[in-house]
Amino acid sequence: MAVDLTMYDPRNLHLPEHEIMRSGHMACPGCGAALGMRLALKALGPDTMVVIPACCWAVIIGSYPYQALEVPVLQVAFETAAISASGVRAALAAKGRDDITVMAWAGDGGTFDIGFQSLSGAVERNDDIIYVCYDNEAYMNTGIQRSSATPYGAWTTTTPVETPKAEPKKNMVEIMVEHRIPYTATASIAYPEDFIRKMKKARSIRGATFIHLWISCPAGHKSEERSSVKIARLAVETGIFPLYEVEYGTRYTINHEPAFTDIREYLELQGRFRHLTDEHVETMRRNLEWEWQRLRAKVEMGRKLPLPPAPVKAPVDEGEREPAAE
Amino acid sequence: MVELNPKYLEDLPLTSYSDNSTELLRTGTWKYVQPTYEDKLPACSHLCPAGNDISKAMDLVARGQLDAAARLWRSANPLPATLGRVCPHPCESECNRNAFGGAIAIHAMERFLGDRSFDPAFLPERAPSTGKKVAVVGGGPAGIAAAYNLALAGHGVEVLDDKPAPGGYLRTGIPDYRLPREILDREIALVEHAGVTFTCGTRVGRDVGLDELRERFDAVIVAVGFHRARPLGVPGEDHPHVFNGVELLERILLGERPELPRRMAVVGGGNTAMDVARSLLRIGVEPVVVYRRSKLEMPAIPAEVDEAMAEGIEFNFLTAPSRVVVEDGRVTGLECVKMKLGEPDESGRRRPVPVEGSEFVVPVDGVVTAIGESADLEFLPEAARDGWRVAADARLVTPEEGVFAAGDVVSGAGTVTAAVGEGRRVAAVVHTWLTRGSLPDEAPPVQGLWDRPVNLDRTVYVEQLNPAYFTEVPRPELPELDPVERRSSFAEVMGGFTEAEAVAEARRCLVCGTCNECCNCLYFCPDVAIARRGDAFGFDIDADHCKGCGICVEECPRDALSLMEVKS
Amino acid sequence: MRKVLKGNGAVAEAVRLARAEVISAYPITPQTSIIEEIASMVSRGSLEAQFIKVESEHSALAGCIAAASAGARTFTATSAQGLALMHELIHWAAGGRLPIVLADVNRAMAPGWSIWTDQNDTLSQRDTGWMQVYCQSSQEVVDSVVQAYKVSERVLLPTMVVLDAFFLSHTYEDVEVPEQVMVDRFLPPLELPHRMDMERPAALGNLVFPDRYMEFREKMDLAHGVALGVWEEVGREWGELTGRPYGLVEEYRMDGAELVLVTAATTASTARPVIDALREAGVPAGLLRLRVFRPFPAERIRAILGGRKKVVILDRNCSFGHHGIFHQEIKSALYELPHGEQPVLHGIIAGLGGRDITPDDLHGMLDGAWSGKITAPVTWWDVLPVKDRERAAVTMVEGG
Repeated sequence: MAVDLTMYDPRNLHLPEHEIMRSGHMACPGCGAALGMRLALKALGPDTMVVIPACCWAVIIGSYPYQALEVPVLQVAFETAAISASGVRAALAAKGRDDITVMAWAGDGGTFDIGFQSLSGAVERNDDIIYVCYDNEAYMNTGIQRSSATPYGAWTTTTPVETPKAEPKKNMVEIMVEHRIPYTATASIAYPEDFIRKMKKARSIRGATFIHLWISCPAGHKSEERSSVKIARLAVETGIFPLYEVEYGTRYTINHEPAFTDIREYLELQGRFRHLTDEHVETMRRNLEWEWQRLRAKVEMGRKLPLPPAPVKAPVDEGEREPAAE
Repeated sequence: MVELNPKYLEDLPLTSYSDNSTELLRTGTWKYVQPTYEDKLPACSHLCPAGNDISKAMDLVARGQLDAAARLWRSANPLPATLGRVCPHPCESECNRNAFGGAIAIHAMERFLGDRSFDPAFLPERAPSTGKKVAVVGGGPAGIAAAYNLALAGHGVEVLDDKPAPGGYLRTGIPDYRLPREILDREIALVEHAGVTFTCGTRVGRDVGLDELRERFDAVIVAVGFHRARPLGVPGEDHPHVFNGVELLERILLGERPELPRRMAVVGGGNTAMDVARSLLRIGVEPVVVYRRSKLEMPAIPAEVDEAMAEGIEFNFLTAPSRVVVEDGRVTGLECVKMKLGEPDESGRRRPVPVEGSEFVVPVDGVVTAIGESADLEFLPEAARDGWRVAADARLVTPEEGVFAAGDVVSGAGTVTAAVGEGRRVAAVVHTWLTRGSLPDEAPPVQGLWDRPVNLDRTVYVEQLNPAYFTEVPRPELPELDPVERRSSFAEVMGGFTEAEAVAEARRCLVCGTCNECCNCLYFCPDVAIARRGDAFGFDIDADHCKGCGICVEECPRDALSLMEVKS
Repeated sequence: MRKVLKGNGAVAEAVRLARAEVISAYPITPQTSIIEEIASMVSRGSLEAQFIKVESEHSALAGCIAAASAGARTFTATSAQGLALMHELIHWAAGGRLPIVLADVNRAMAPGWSIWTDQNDTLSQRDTGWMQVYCQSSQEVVDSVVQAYKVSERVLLPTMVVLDAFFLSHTYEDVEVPEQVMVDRFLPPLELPHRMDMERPAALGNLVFPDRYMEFREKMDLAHGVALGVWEEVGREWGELTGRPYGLVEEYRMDGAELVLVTAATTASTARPVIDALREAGVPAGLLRLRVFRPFPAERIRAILGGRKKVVILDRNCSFGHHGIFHQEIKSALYELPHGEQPVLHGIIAGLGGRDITPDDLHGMLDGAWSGKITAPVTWWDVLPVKDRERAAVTMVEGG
């Protein structure tokens, strides 16, 4: 029963109805990665192939002989998500199939750390893949060890409370931006429409696209299962995880102006931050302010600059490729 | 699909090749709590004495199903067009939208839905006849509501009223500028259409006795209301220019234009006082309101007070009359004493205390008393009386078998809305008694009579809502007759909604505690365990796959889901 | 068509003839000219394929694995460090039952850096489930690469086609390049039964619990057994089409041979005139060249070597602490022979890091074994003499 929900409060959601992800998967209760995949495949539709390296999703998808997705999936080695997507794309190209979207779906460890090289290679070649990093900010599948995506101050089993992580989170989006790929964006499970729009945009682009999806992890963040979406929303509303997109390394758009809610509201919901002192929080605040100054400066810069000159063989934007079953 | 229970190596694929759906796995067994759809009482309905199902109706209007909404509203409340004009709408003061742009105009919506449903097609289908007969004594709002609901339930209902036309205080106590007669007539016509017989001009105790009624009917409901004015109890009260407010108002409203003094004190702070003062204004008299407490303590509907003030009526607060000043046989003033507010009394309002030596005279030519009313219950046996009231318990059952009561005679002078709610409740009690032959152990609150399940123990206030999903949208202004124009006219002061305005306003409604298929639960479920119900309203939770994370409960904007312990 | 091709060029020709669809590769000496030639073919259009120019060997093989999983015929080439970097994915390709063909130009492992030949890089990958074919000539390289696709796609295991650095990779030879029409008939398009397929949305590689893991591994082991017969069958078929039949091993002057040299790759070419000379000198010498090393033709080797007097096994590799690797394998294959038929085995480790193995070296080894001068079960050939083994093994000297 399709009801026109536009008549309700403007924040009511309007998402594609079809489901590619199935129930019965192995994700923990309240898993943001499961929700993220569900939304991503709502956006991409059934004409999709998915590549999954070692990460939580290598388990979530189900053990042999079960599988949670109604699209072909290839599980690959930890550090090979991007090249594996490229390989699938190459095979499809060799077979003359250009109607299939290839998505690499990797965690923060597989993206920021071990898969960094292969990712850099694939996006530098501008291979026609969508790379989604679902980021829960640590190696959660192995039991919560720090990754270079772990934020400053966070507890993990390898950054115990006596010496929580001292370094800021690696800025993966900016690294991708500097590869001058057609499209880079951040997204959040708490903003499904924004996420889905970005996935569809990525799908419409022939070339490398990178989506950085922030997800919650009740087990790893030491948070309540029911709060998964709330925490993801606060990550955005505090300004900690800005929702923005960048075209061709130049044009920055902030998609959601945060309320700049007090970061304590965000931190207090997560046990991984429970040990933080006022000084830690103050450092985080100052850093947050600096990050936003930096981001806004980039928005300004992008306004003044033209897009980079197109290479001889420019990636072709063929417009929206709508999923057939929508 | 691969072989799930292979006997031979040949039955396995070459490598880990998985094509069986995980739906075969019952991951729902992991959970220890489970979400359940559970509508709760919205703050507005919690405070609605008539028990209107506001959120559900608002949802229907928002969907553009205006007729369905009107049908729902009228399904148990026979006077929506009336209440939509005279109800003090406490719902709006508690409306959770107050935190996001101003209360929903529920009062105006009730009027809109009432005005939309004067056609008998809007009446619910009447249940098959039970063969039982009920007499309702008193054709005011409580009696009408009781009669309407009992008639729809299939009983034969006769309303006896001593006035020439039914309506009670609605007809004799509320001026046209608030409730045009035509509206009341049309609603009563609908009640008759629903199967209720009105016998007017018949006074129980004078024209027919209670015993006779008990003989002729299977049940009798006493709902005579408060209509006898209480005296001031000060010297000079017997002067002909000291009027009983209820009677005077009734005369004016019935069209009489008696010769009246030019300037009159109206004593009292209730709705009758306001109605008298504003009606006097409209027939050329200059009213002066005298009230012994402050504006804050006035029992009248605040909006009525504000409107009266806007019309230029003079108010004397903290002023209590002590003597009607009569000189040369003419009233020349009302001697009053200044009051101050002391400790709160049992009503919670601060008790007025006279200020020694503060006597002064309000210069007036006449006085109207409007300090409260009481009932005329002499037709009842002693045992069924308790002072001014009927001795009825919380179930509205009197000590006389088969005799029930509702309205002011049970709960004291209240609002029309409360009377309607009580009428609904007494109808439910009488219906149980007539159909099951027994009395309920306790009478449910009026909201318990809804035909959809609602957890009455939980009321949704703004703290229970998820503010992330609501944006501030300002409350629209409603049309209102110019105060200067209305000083000289009994024309209706408040305007109503257009269809578009009604829909727009309903879309502002947060639909608290009531699932409106916003789909947050559906979309945010990481386990794809929530599904639409096909053509039916709402969603189903797949217990085999719901892991009980509770995201749906947390992300429900309106607290229409609850987490329950899983019973092992 | 006859062409003068070096070994690397022969690989490229064969990849073109096999109509590989996806090439994913990364440069490393001495393999680089293979992928340079293929890149040129793809650019010119003589090979219609997708060439992913990856950023590492690791990605090179990962790209092939993904493309093969999606149903494409794939190729990559590497050497030494590159192959070692691929190691995780070498397992992956075999476990995924993907018919990938990889050309490895045998090169010694660092440190110290060496670009010259030995077999330790490929033999380190012995236990991964890949098939391995060691070639002795550019002609055999062309023929073996095409055959490798056919066998791999039949038994669904990947194959490493191995050629010696420089001695073969960079040495020009006269080669008969088969006709494309003939190869197309010989090698039909790949239809991978477990490929990623929109019609059958399966997941490849999901977690396998202990209750099934062994079964999948047993299937790989069984496939190796099947592959032995397929290599023989395909080698015969190739012979019928081209006049150049191939077997699992190659025998040279083995009739009545009591002294047998067992070796692989280009050393076998060096050995033939030495065998001839020994025969002329009255020594009953013969040569057994190992070609298909995995699957291991143990039965065939047992049948050939059973009852011979002495066998010299030349390893251009070493499993440190326990023999050359061919030596180990052959010794274990001969264990099942009745006692009287067991030949005396002499393992020789020679030619590591590209050191030349000359006819004189080979003569010395065979003569030494036949005459009884060599008695040790394992001999490091042509290395500095040792005074004190333990001291030599662990003593650091500067400026030596």
